[in-house]
Amino acid sequence: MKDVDINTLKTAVDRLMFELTDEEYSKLLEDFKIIMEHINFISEIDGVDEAEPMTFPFEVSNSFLREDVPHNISTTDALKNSNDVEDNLIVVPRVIK
Amino acid sequence: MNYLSKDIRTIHNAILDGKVTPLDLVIEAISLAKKDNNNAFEYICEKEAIQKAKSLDKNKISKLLYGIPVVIKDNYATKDIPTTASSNILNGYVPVFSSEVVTRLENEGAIVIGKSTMDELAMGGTGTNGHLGITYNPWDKSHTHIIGGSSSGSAASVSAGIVPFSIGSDTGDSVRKPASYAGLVGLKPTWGRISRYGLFPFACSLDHVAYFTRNVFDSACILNVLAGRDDKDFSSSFKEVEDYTKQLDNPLLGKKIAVIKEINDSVSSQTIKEQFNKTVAFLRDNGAVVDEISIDQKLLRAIYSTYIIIASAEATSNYASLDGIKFGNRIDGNSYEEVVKKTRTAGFSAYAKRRFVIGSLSLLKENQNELFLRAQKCRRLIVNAFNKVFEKYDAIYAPASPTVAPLIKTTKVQIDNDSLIADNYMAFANLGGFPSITIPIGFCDGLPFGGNLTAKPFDESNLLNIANELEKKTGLANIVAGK
Amino acid sequence: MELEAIIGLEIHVQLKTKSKMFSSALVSFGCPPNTNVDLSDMAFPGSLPTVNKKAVIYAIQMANALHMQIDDTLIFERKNYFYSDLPKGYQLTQHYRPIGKNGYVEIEEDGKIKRIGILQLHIEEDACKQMHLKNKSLLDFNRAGIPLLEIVSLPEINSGREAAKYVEEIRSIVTYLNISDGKMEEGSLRVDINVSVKEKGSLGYGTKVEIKNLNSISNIQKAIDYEINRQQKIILSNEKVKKETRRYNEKQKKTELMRIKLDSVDYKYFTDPNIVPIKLSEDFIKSAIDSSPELAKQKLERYLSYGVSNNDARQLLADKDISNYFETGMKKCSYPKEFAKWINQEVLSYLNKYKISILDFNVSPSQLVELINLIKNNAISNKQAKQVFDKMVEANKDAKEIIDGMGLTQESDETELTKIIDEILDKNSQAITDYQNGRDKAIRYLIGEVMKVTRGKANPSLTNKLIKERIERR
Repeated sequence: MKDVDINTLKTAVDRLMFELTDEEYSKLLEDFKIIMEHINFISEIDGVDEAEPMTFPFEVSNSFLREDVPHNISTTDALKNSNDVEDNLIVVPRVIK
Repeated sequence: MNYLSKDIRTIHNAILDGKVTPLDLVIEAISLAKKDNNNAFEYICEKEAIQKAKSLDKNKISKLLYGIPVVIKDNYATKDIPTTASSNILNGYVPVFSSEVVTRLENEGAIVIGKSTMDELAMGGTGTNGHLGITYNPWDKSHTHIIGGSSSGSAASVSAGIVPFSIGSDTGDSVRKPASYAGLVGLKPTWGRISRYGLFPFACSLDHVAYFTRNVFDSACILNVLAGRDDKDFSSSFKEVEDYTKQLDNPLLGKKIAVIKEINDSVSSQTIKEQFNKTVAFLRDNGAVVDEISIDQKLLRAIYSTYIIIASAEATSNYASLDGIKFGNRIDGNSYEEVVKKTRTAGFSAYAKRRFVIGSLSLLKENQNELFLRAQKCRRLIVNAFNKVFEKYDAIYAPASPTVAPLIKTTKVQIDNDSLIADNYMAFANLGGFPSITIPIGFCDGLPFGGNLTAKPFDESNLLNIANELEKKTGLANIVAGK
Repeated sequence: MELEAIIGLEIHVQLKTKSKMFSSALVSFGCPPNTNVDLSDMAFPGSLPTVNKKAVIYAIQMANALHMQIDDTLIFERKNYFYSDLPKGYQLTQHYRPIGKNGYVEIEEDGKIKRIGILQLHIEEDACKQMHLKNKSLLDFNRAGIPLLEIVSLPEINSGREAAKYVEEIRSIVTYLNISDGKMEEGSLRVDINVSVKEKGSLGYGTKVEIKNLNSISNIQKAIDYEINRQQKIILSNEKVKKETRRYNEKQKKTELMRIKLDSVDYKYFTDPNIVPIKLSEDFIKSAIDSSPELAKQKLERYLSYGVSNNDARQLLADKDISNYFETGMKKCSYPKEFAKWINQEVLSYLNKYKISILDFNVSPSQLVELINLIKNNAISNKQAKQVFDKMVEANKDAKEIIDGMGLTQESDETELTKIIDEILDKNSQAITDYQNGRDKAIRYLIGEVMKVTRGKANPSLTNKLIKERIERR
């Protein structure tokens, strides 16, 4: 992959919806170098690119599906952890995008 | 008499004999928890636990966990009890439902007396990166050593004699490593064996419910309670649940156990090496065949690399729901975007944020082949290599840590750059979903260390049998710090 | 330079299951805010997705109706992005393994059949509803997690009219399968359009422009036609079409810019690790297909086989509720052709006049069938029947009752009737022979003749009895 520069990181950070300080960015660059070393460890392994990606720890499948029977939690339970609620709606400042 | 530093069976018998009541136990556990100076607790459920102890269904007295106090890691949803996963972003969050694990324990009569500290959002293995700071190792009164993590408070509360067992979670080695540093039995069963419903997801394909006890028998008993299909968790297994205590005392004659040369070679502590070899001799004495085998060093070194990439990628996605809108510690702003940014900036530690960025970059279209998918490919090769071992062997046995608990001052909250195999190999059991158990095997400078046994998926009975026989030889069951 | 338009459609269909796609919360519309939610709709940590069996059955039925290859393994991916309407920070969808692949529908234009290829059909979940006020937005999670099917066509559509027919066909299929309300105006069927224009016969594609927020099929056609024209003009004046998203302005009848498309968002897709692959057994898939309700196309064949005219059959099928009305009546009706015609003419004109749905129409199918039978038995004339029908609607009474009340009483004077019958028998020796040879039809013919003479006033059963008696006497 392309070298990771500060702009790539800034875009990624922005899309993750948080901010980093300059100091944190330099730490992040360090971490990224470490990750690239790890990638090198992986790349050194024979046959790695030919292997099938593995999402689950072992071959596993079920055939179970949930029956279509409705069940709600109460509106109180749904909303009590949000700290801005009006008329049972969660309020956020205006969405820009 | 202090029952809380005993094993579960002893406490259970004392309850049956009327020597102690659940309320006595709960009051004592809470008083110990309040005096705890290892920073093991996020929240002590004083009122709730005493209320529960008073209202226990006496018909359940014959159940082993009836009236037994337990501590739950703070990344399990507990109804009406604050749950933060030791992250500021979840300050004030009170779940409206309980994890399946907690429900099953409570159905058996166990009483949750507290929620334990952890590395923030279960990311990290040191027990130093929670929002309440460092969790200390009860074996070290001077508070200079870590206890390990991420299930740090759960380990500390059992090892300090506050509760006889505690629930943790294990995504890389987050129960099995602290078990080694705390002198405890730490079991992580097969992926899918215990429902993850209610466990805050960190990396779902690697996350396991796991727990600490003081001996192997207790570990088997807890598995009897927790194992089994749960329709609420679509990764929960339909495999039949066994009575895991049944085969505990089977003779080891004919069992085949592999020790891995490359792991042992990378153990730095001479004491640990020697003691480990002694325990290998115990196994042989009991009739097991123990062979030293080799696994490609490159593959072993890539375990941590593979783990860290997959775990970070899944974590980025799992923790995207933490935005302060529906729950959690919202910080105000002038627009939706500003609210979310401010909330997440203030709510996550620097380390968590770095992990998220790395996870996110590895999932980007332009990088996915080289990073995330390559790690998933490597995962298959690693798992294949271990499955090959399990074709011939009942279990793999290795030191659970290359050293005793490290010093706090040398501990860094960072992605590891050294690839010390013995320090990182245990994540192979998460990559392959293998059942894996750490048990104490010795001491060095007054600090405990463990050995780790791992078996093929759903072979918990066999695994616990070997661990139990080994425990008999080491004589290190039911050890508690300072006793 | 001759230009051609290439159009591809993405249709989202909201399924009418009882519960949501990945949670048990109730699916219902018009409920108070945040009443229909379960843990995972609020993304509470530790909540897990559970896959709705009914939604999977509906998806299989849809895939089958679209002639698709059906995947026997269900796997879901996470589509990751931050937005205020997306509680988990990702949407569960099927990115790599859609449940249906490589299908088609057929549309008819000017008597010619055109096949529109469908790339894939996949299952996903809806987002929550937002209400944007002046300085704040309000979130209602009732919609979050409702099952959606996304149907992605191949870019094989070339005009607004074709696109409209394609959407009409998809809408017909989902409504006849009874898996969705299929109402564009209510958002249960949503259409996103990609339009590009290129030189005819050239390889590759022109610049794609996306059109969103269309609320009716006729607007789809208008928006596309406008957009093709707009792009052609741009190309012909040697300028470049911009990659952008546009919306249709109904009042001005034109498309207008919504936003310029920057770099496309990277959704960081990966397989959801919470749902292990779900194997759908052959039996499960087969029984889902076997239990599929009949599609409009199949019904059409059936109606034609009843002798209903092609035009009438299609008109009945244009509205599922009307075809239901027809089918309910058909259980008791021996005159499908007339019944269909009557529905399409009298009933529809009444419904249109008063702008009501057939569901609110107060003449039941069996009441209408009774009226048809009276006509066919010559008890009343067609003309009389229309009067009777008007009264039926007005008074909510059976036809018989009205006929009695209107004084359309029948000729029941035996002497008078016998006279008429004898006269008719004299003129119809062939019918008499037919009757004697056992053909019941002949009697019906003779009754008809009597009715003509009496202008429908003869009592049918008396007439029947007398004809038989008079023939015996001969």
